[in-house]
Amino acid sequence: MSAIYSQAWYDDLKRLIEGSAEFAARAPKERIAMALEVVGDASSPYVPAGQERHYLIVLDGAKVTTLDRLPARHDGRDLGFRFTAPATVWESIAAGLLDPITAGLRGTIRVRGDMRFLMKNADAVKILVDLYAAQVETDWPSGKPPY
Amino acid sequence: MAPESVSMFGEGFDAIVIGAGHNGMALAAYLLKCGLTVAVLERRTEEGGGLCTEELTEPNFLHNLHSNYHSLVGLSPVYDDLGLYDEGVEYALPEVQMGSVFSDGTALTIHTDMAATHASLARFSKKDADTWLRLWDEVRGYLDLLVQTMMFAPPISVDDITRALVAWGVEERSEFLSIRLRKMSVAEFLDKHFEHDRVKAMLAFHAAICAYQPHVRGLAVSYPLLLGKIANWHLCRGGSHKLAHALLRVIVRAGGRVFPQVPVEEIVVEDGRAVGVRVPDGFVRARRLVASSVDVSQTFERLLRPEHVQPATRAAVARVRYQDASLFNVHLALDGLPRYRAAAFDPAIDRAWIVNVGYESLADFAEDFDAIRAGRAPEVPRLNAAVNSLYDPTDAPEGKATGLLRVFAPYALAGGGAEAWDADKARYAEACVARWRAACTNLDGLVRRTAAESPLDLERRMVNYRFGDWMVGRIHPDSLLDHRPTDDLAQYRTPIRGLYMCGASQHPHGYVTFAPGYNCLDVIADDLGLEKWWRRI
Amino acid sequence: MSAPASGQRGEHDVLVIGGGHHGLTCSAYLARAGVDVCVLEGRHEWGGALHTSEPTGPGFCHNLHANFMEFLHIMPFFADFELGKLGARTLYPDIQAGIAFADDRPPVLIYRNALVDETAATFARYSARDARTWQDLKTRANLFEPALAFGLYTPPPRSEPGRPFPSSTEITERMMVSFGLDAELAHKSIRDCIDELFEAPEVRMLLYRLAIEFCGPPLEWPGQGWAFLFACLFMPGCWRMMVGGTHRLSGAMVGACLREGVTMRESCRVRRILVEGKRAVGVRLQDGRELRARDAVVSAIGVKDTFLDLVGEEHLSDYYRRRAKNFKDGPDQVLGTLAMALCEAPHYRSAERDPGIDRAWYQVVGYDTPEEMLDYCRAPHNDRLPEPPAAGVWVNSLWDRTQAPEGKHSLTGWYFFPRASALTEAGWNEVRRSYNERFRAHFERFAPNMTAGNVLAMHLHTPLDQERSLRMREGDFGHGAMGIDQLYALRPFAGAGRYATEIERLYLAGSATHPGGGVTAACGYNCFKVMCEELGYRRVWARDDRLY
Repeated sequence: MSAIYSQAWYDDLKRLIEGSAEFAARAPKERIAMALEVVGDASSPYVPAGQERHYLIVLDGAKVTTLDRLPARHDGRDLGFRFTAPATVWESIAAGLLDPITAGLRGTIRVRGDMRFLMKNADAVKILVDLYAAQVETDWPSGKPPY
Repeated sequence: MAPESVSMFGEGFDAIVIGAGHNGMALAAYLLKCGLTVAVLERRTEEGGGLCTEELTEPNFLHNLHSNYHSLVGLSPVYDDLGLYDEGVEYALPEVQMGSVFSDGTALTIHTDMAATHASLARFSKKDADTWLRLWDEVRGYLDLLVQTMMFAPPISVDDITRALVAWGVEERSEFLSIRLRKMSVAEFLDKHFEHDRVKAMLAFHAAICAYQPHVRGLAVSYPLLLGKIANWHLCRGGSHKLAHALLRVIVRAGGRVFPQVPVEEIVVEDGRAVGVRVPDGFVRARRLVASSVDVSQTFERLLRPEHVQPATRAAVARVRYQDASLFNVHLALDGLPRYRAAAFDPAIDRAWIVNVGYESLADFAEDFDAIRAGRAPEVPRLNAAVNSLYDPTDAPEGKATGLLRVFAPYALAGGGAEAWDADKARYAEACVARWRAACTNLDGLVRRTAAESPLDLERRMVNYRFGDWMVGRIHPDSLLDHRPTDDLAQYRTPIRGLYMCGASQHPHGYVTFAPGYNCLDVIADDLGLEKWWRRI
Repeated sequence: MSAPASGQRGEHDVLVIGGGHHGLTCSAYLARAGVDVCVLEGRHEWGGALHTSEPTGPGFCHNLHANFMEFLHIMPFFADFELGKLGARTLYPDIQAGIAFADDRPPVLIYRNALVDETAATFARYSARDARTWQDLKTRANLFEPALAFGLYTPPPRSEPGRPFPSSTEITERMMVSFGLDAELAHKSIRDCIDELFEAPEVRMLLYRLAIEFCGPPLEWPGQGWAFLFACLFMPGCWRMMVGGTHRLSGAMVGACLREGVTMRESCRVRRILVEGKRAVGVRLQDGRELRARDAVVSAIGVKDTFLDLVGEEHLSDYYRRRAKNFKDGPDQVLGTLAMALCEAPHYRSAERDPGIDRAWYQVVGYDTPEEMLDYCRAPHNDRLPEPPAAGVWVNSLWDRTQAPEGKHSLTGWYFFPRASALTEAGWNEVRRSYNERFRAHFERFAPNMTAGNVLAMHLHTPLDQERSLRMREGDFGHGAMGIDQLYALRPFAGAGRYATEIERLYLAGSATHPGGGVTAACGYNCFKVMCEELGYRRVWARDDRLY
């Protein structure tokens, strides 16, 4: 168990992705870079209102070649996708309280990028969001949603 | 050997865009900002294509002859990318977007304020009003995604879309999205979710004026996207042509040229590659590409020599279908704003920008479109009546107003063909005005002058609107997404190297979305290795 | 109701009111001189009288106002901004004008400037003397062109106490003498000049008609010899046609403005010129917004509109108020523009004698005798519609096939009508309904193929329409009468003849200034020159190879 937003937590996630035979079978052929943006809101104890946390995930086939926290917002160059949501939303998903697909459909997570890619790789997308939502075991040092 | 260039065109340009409609001009503007030299060649006397505003009835009465409703404002990235607002474009967003007046004196109104819309619907059916709000809410959640995916990107197939919806279990997560939509018509969708005829008629009217015929199977798949824009109908102040002026300014300031009244007669091909165009003055060289915003039939059947078009492409182009319903238009100069009888029931109807006069149930649509397919103009015209002056008083002298009546009508009349319209135009225009007069309390004495444009006139003015089809290709599952205009030409490239398609005959379709030009740009950028500065991910 | 925020800036160096060709000219030069300039146009379209539309149906182009271009070859704007490369292409028809007859008389034709002998040959059918007179006068007129250009494109001189410059009459007298003519002609009417110099009725008829084509004084007013020189000798022969319609010229002018960085706002009606102290500081728009001008406001619209409507009488001296009110609107004969969509171009009876009439750019049709022509010219002055209906017509599609659908033709023409206020709106509506068809029936006598079946659609743009669409009071197509009392340094009136006004930093650049109506681009050009003098702008107009 690793604490939410800790490097270890992301390492866990990375191990899960790379260890998934299911994902390996369905992973997109192309290299794809994604930015995850966690926007502080008044509710999350982890990311204060007014602050943001930025992550870059690069998948190359079934390999996670990058999974880093960025010092600032990604400038968008060579970026495939940008997923933006309030911290509470990301945390609720990680806690298994919120269905990520529903959050995408409702516009709670704002998706920028070529949706055709996500649709053509719909199965891989589903596996990834399930890993994030259901499989990573998370420690909640400042409390678990709904806090 | 190609003839020598003429002086107005110098040594030619990196890119030549055929047709100065909004798609062609937007593409030209982006390419200029990528550093290419670009010329846009236009057949007509004015740039703008469907962005056509003229004083058709009398001086100082501005009539939008074609494009009138701009529903992608705020959603289409082009406005901001090109800085069109900096060039003077201003939009009004009418607070009463549209409405219907019914024969029993009732009226229904769609407001930008959804609570007001709910209240109007609830006077007909509380259940439908509640359903409406849930539908609106759901659609708004994914509208941004839909617009990005289904409009501002080269097309993918319905199969890919369906697979994704299944993989993601969307059906369990939403009330209105379903893989069954691909088999349903808009009318069936409305029947499934709504109970009141008038409510269904209003929503079907909205779909129909977007060229989504209510009874065409499979169109329900686009209905959520369509619906998401129902409260986003914007009116371009000063006439739709003002948007064309802004595009022109962006192009010329970026060093580009627009040449009206220079009809392209041939796309010149050498060794399988488009190298320029022939115009009445001679040859104009295109060093890197030619983009045609002209419809696919003209591009392949008229502008290209037969020997440059493969038989398979020719056959596919010959199969391209156009809409079977065109529009009959009556433009009016009025001495004041019309008042509806139904205002006694719902005063907001007098503030509704676009009003349905005549469609009271889904069956009415079936009746009209059946008649149209048989070559008959609906006996008693059912109107789409727009009064732009309500929200843009500058389109008429002070205290006066313009009006626009549109009726779905066949291009070719049974027994006389399209030419028969010339003789029947005046009579039918009078029938349209009479229908409006009956729905209003004050139209007698208000009408100063009228000017009618038949479906044939639409085609004469805008040759792209073949058979009077203002969407430049029918709205039908066989002619949308990766099937538009043909399977081979759907990705904006053509079998001729350096020749691209960027007009409304491409995905997604006509209307002022800029999407065909924008998506063509994406493909050109891939092929030429241009940096996609406009991509804001 | 909401609208995305507009990018309009509220302050510029110079605001130009009116996007007609003078406003565009002045704006382009100002911007080239490095001035931050914004031009405001009330209509939805640029170019003012450079107006082309499709009133008879899709694809049929008609120039509802300006049609022939006499000055493009000497116009500094055209050369300096390479308008040709920006899409303004011209044609120069060999046969410029002609008159057709209903009987077997041959036509009288006027060829372009260089073809003096060809013209004379058609005169000689009626009078050898007239042919010689034409050869002599037109040859001299052609030599006059540089002087004419200098006169057009140079602001009138400043009048200084004790050093009055010569009056227009004196100048005309000198010109008559240099043409080998009697100086007395300067004091006669246009008609008298024509009658004294030409004897053949058919030649006179054509010249009478040409004399009223430009917005000059009535044919029979004394003291207008200058107008004879101008309308009968200088102008016929210089006429160029814009390929694609005259609106293409304004399109190129707009292009020039954009390239120089002019801010352009159409559908933007000015309600007031803001005056603080005695100085113009900006404008208020119809929607209430205000724009400020750091350096100057230029008005390229009418003189009454400028002073009485926009500045306001409270800011004017008694003199200005009186002169603005008394400013005389244009000629009493104003334009009714007719437009017809045709299957075939007219084929005249007179073509049997000389097929050139079918290829004459401007075809005068509907007159049998000089008396008929004179009555036609007089009718508008008595608030009468001319009878029988006759006109001068152009079939531009004969030369430029982009102006009509394939295999069809667009015909545009001018009637001369009384001023807009001579009839009620209902009266003009009736004229619009009936006059064209009566003209067509009459036309058929001259060109038998002008049957009802040959005409697909007709339109008539009445003087009231001209007034409303182009803001030309009374349909006045010159923005002010072009009489000797309202010309040169006296235009629009004494003391305001050099583009500057009594309101500091308010300049005039419209056709109400020297040299007046017509597509000269001179008013805007000269205004810019004066602004260079007064405001120290860079003299970007100056060229070593040009005197003006």
